[in-house]
Order: sequence, then C-alpha cells, then structure tokens
Amino acid sequence: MNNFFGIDFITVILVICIGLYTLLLAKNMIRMLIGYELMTKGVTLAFISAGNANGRIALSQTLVITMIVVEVVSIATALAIVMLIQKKNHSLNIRKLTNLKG
Amino acid sequence: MKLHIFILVFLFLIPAVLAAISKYLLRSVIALLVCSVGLTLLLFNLNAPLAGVFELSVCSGLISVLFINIISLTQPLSGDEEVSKVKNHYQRFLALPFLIIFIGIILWFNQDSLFGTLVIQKVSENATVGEILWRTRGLDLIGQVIILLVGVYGIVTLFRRGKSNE
Amino acid sequence: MLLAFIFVPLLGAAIMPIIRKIWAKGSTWIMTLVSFYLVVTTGWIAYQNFLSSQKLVLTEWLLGQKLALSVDGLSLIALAAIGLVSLVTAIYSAGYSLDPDRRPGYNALLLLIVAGMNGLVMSTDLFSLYVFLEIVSLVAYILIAYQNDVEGLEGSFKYFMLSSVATVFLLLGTTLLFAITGSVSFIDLAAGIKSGNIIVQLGFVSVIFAFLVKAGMIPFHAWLPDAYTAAPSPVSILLAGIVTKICGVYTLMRVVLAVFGFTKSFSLMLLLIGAISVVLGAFLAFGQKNFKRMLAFSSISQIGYMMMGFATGSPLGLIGAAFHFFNHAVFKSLLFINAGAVEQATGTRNFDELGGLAGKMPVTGVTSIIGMLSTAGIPPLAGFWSKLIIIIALWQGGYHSYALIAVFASVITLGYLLSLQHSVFFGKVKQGLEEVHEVKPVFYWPAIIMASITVCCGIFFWFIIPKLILPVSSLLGSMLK
Repeated sequence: MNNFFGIDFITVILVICIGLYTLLLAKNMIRMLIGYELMTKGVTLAFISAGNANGRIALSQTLVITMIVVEVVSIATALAIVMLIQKKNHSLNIRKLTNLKG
Repeated sequence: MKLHIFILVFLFLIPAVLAAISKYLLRSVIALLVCSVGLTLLLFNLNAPLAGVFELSVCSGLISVLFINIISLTQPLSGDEEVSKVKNHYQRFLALPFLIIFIGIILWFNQDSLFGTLVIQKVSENATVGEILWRTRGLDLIGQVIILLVGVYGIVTLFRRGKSNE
Repeated sequence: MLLAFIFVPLLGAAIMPIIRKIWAKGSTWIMTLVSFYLVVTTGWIAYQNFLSSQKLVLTEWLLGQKLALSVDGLSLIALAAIGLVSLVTAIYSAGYSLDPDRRPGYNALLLLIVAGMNGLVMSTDLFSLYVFLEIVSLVAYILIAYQNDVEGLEGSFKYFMLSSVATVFLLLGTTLLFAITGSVSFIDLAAGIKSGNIIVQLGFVSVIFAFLVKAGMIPFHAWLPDAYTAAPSPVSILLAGIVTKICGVYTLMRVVLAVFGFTKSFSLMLLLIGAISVVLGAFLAFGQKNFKRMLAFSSISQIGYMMMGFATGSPLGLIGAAFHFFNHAVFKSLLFINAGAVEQATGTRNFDELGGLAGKMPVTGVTSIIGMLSTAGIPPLAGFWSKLIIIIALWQGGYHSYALIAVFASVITLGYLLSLQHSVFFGKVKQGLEEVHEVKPVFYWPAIIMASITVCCGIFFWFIIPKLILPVSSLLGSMLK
C-alpha cells in the first residue's frame, strides 16, 4: 500500500510539473488556464491517494468534492475575464497584454 | 498486480502532456477531457467512487463544455492569425516530454528515500462521506454557498452592459 | 455570535436582487449598515473580553458537532481591520460614479468578500482556510476587472495566474500534511507533524511559498502593483488596506503559530525575504510616477516590516507585527482614499501633471500628510509605535543588522513619501489645475475617519497596546507548551 502512495505522488508531482510548464511558457491565455486545470487534477489525485494511504478516504472525498466546486467557479470566472480581454484586445496572446508597466 | 496501476497512470499522464503540447486549443481541451477520464479511473481504483463521479461529471463534463464554448466564441475573430503566429510552438514545448521523463526517472529511483521512511498511522473511519460532509465540514458548506453566489454575481456583473458603456 | 460575522454579510448579499427591484439606492445602505454592524460587534467582543482581562479564545460549535470557528487576539485585530476598511470602502463607493444598473452587484460582491475574509480569519482548519482564501481572491479578481477596461482586466488576469499557482501549492502542502496526520484541523496537524520527516518539510515549504506569493513579497510581487493600479478606486482601497494582508500575512501568521511553530532556519529565511521586500519595495517606490503605483510599492515594503517583526518569533515581535498589521490597514487605506480623491478632482494620477493641490483640497492634503507621516513612522502617530516595537524586537532577538536595515528603510520611506507630497500637494499649481476644488464630503469623510483613528492610536498607545494588542502574545505561549 505504501508503494502505491509513492507511485501516486510521483504522478502528482509530474502532472503539476506539466501544468506549471504550460502556465509559464504558454502565450495563449486559454492554454494557461488548461495548465492550471492540469495542476488542480494533480492535487485531486494527491488528496485521494493521501486519504487512501492513511485510511480516511471518506474525509478526503468530501474535501475533493468541495475543491472541485471551488475550482469550477474560479475557472468559469477566469474564462469570463479571458473572454472580455479578447473582446477588448482582439487577441488571446498574453504578450500583447502590456498596458501596465513600471 | 501492479500493472494496471501503471496503465492507469499513463492514461492520466500522456493526455496531460498532449494537452500541453498540442498546437490547436480544441485538441488540447479534448486531451484534457481524456486526462480527466483517466483521473476518474485512478480515483475509482483508489476506492473513491464519489469523488470519481464528481470528477467525471464536473471536470470532464462541465469544464470541457466551458472551454469549448469560450474557444468557439473567441476563435472566429483570431483563429488563423493565432495559429500562424505561434510558429515556434513545438520548439517551446519540445522539452516538456523529456523533462517529464527525466523527473519521473529521478523520482522513481529516489522514492525509497522520499516515501520509504514514511510512517503513516492508519486511522479507521466508520462515517460515510455524507455524514462527514454534513456533521464536521459545516464551514466548507457555507464556503461553497458563498462561492456559488460569488460566481453568479461575478459573471452577471462582469457581463452586464450598463447604459454608460454603450 | 461568531456565525453572524459570516451570515450577516451573506444575507445582505443574498437579498441584493430583491432590493434592486424595490429600492434603487438600498444596496449601498445595506453595505454600509452591515460593515457598521461588523465594527460594532467586533468592538463589543473586544470590550467584553479584554477589559475583563481574560485570555480571549471564543469558539463556536457548528451544527452541534465539531469546533468550527474561533476568535483569539490576532483574529480580533484582523476582524477590526476588516470592519473598518470595509466601512470606509462602503462610504467611499457610495459617492463613486458607478453604473446604477451594476451597483447592486458591486455591493453584493463587496459583502461577499467581507464574509469571505471574516470566515478566513475565524477558520480553524487548513482546508476551510483554503476555501475562504479562494472566495476572497475570486471576488478580488472580479472587482479589479469590474470597470471592464483593458487595464483592469489585465491586472485581474495577472493576479489570477500568480495566485492560482499559490493556491495549487497551498493545496499540495495540505495534502502532504493530511497524508501524514490524517486530518486537516490545526490542532490535529500540530499534534501530528512532530516527527520532522521530509514530507512534512515539503508540505511546510509549499504552504509558506503559497502565502508569500499571496502577500506579494518581493520575488513574487509582480502582480501586486498592476492589480492595485488597475482596480477602481474603492476596490484599491479594499485591496491595499486589507485583502492582500489577510490573504498573505494573516494566513502565514496563523498557520505558523497554530501548526508549524518557529524554527531557526524559517526565521532566518523570513527575515531575509522581509528585509529584501522592505528595502527593494522602498527603492522601487522612489522611481514611480503614478500615485497608486508608488503606494503599491510602499505596501510591499510595509508588508516586509510585518514579516520581519513576525520572523523574530518573540512575543514582542508578534505584538509589533499585529499592531503594524492594524496600523497598515488604517493608513494605507487612508492614502488610497486620498489617491482616489485626487484622481476624482483632477482626472489624473500622474505626478508630472499634479502640483500645489494643498491649497485647493485642504482636507485631502491634511489627511494625506497624517497618513504619510504614520507610514514613515514619525512620532506620535500610530505607525511610529508599531515600527519601534518591531525594531526593538529585532534588536533584542540579536538580529542587529536587520534592525539597522529596518531603520534605514524607514528613512527611505520618509524620502519617497516626501517627494510624493512635494509633487502632488505642495509647490506651484500646475497648469490646468486652477479650477480644482475639494471633492464631495462623501469622499473626504472616510479619510477623516481613518486619519483620526491613526492619530488616536498613536496618542493613546499606552492604552491600546496593553489592552488590545498584548493578548496576541499569549498565542505564542500556548504554542510553545
């Protein structure tokens, strides 16, 4: 059982690396959000495998359910903001978003 | 016995990499959906059916729909232009699979030092998910109510066009 | 009693759609009344508990089962700051020109962010803390983008991206700690992580990293000036005054006090980051031409002071950090109110186009001088005492060089704020500003309230520090046992 925990956490770390890489290198704002989504998937897996390892699987499931609700609302809000930016700027490129400087 | 775990992990990881490196956003979103399905299978395998169902319905269902909606709403204005502009797209993301394999190998061979000494006290738990959610996580439920209200008011106020803006 | 801190704003927000139909101006009144109620209730709790010289730990059991909410000295200071800043924000935004159609939604969001902050301050486990932190950040993104201008949307998106990374790291740390201890409440976590293995260390590092990003400390500060500058004036008062401090500084203090405790290496790391933020924030503020942007960098510098005071791990340092937390909420929101008033009157916040406004706008000029002197730590204003306590704590803790850095940065702070005063309020009246006159009373009354609180806290420090701030240090004692 302990070994499974190890495999799961390696997977979690890898997925978070993929998400972070996407977040840092993407130019498209929607792709940045996809990176964020990948990272939250990693965290979901981390919660459940932690709960599986220490026996409190029911508690970890309740936490994951709350987390999914929170993440959906924040992704929806972020997508709304991206859409408004695209309406104003006519581009999804983050590098074109340089009005604030200093 | 271990093999199916590996298959599930790869079912989760490979779509994740594809979602990151695919050039077209729509394909990325579909890869994300597949990745979510892989995660659901992993969760079922870890005895968490309820969380798995939530993941399947909300993350792979609702979020994919949201993403595809936004892409279809924003692409007509800038689709071809965006794709032609990111010529060096694959160059930037080429390093990703190798990096992931590299980190994976390092972690795999060091997992004894990371997780081997781990002492996890097993707690036996009798309550079901519903009991825990309603009896002990009351504050989280209030938080969920607040965040749903935030979502509703936020989206409504962001998209409401006032008279002065027209 | 404690549940009211969450439910009253929540109810206020929930009835907004009905109010909107029947009473057009009602939303502003509800926001003002709710925040006034919060200030009064906080004052009542403080009166009941501190004046009877008891150690304050109020807890409330939710739905008859487990410990859910608690208030102690540190939370009470945070609650008082939240109430005050939301009250002045409510008054200020009553006069701010918003679309009448969108005003109820705006007020509802303000109420929800207040509910979120109150919940965050009173929560007793790491996961509830995450839920409320996310509520607060989410409302902050929406409010920054509220005017639908390109700057606001850009600031909002940058804030979203950086703070979502912080959120993921917070959750990752939570899962690691949860894996070890099998619980997420502060008490069980503190009991369970005694064995300092590598997983606990990793969890600790990622949780602290998340809070440092949320607080906008120097290596991770990129979002903060953009978000403050791009937000509409009332929102920037709320953000600068309280939101980022609750999201970053309070949460860090709470988690370290309740769960991890101080270690030597953690103290040194936090001191270093705090010192870098103090000095670099002050230097970066010097170069700014934009009123709000300069204040934003000043904010980074002041957060550095709180971190340095807290990092000493001594009761005195904790008192200094908590007092500075409250003072900063007061004087920074005062300065942002002034910035908003200047922008209302002149239509610009660029220093090159401003000058000689003291004669034209006497109330704004005088209150901004008070706020500035308090920020720079000039006696007898409140900011002086908190900085003095922090510097003494640093000296007593043996961190002499850091104490000298704190004194030195205080001088730089005075320098850039004087240059701000000089270019905005004194000197010759610039062209095009001859017609400027004082703003509406609804814009300068919040400034008067905040300025008088700063002066009172400074003059009556001998009453306030022992009675209201000192109970904070007992948190440290309970932790060490």
